[in-house]
Amino acid sequence: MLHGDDADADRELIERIRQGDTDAFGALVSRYLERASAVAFRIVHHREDAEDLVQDAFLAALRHMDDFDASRPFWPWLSRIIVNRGLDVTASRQARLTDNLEQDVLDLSADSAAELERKDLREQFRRALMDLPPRRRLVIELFEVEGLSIAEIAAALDAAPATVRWHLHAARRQLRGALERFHGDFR
Amino acid sequence: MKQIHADATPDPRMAEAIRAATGARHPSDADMAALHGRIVGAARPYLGVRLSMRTSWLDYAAAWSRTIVPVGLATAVVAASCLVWLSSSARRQTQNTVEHVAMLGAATNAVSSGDLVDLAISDVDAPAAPPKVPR
Repeated sequence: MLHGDDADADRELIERIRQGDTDAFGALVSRYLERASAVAFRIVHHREDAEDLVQDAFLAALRHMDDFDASRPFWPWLSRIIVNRGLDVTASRQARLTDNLEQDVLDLSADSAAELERKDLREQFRRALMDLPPRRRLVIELFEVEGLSIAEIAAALDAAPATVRWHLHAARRQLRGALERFHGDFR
Repeated sequence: MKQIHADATPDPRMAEAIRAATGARHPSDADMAALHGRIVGAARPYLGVRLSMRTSWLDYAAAWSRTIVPVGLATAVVAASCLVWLSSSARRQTQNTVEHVAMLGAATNAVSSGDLVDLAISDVDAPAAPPKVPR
């Protein structure tokens, strides 16, 4: 969560960006690049695609900077742009997403049977994860892996906190079997 | 409902499984710096347009001020001249009116000779006395 000073600093940067100040835009990007990249990666699961998404989101924010209410915090607005654009991208590139994961995560050239079995369990968990509706999957990934709070996720998804809690609960329930198999093999 | 609220605590086992299944992001400082440079570089044209819009607006205002200030001064001078001219014209008009009244009084024999002289030399700023009408 942002403190008051951060919000004030954002407001000042945004005013300067509206005047065309490149240094101010660079400073704003520096403040949120790490968080934006983390969220983007959780949506597209591919480094280069995540970088493209982050760039696209920052540029969209810049183009619509005059519409932004500078009295409000910047990060929820930016995260909403990332999520909306990211979900659109994943919807149109579903096949590529699967290919990316298979390239990045699965290496079926393992030689031992135990290794193969472990990869199989990981693949089962991955399938279960990918079978979740996109917004539900994003909720559980942002909460469990990136450590975002329920309120932050709600702001990013433009949803009520209760809805986010429901998605989290439902995702955990849907993944429970695959998770138990996954950890049963590893421990 | 109680179970849903209890869910709001991160589960490290779930995080580990998700990381294993989806891969983890390990960007180096150099990667982040490169991405930062890419984003700012791509933003330069937009920021340049904003800067030029602001500059051109100021130029526009400055150019107009160079025209409007002399025109305003000239208008003020003309207006002042008009006021002076109108004022003197009104004084002449008042004087003419007094003379006309005196002449009318003399022609119609409605004013005595003493009053006629008073009327003719009376202060033009003073309201003209109405001619005495004989009963």
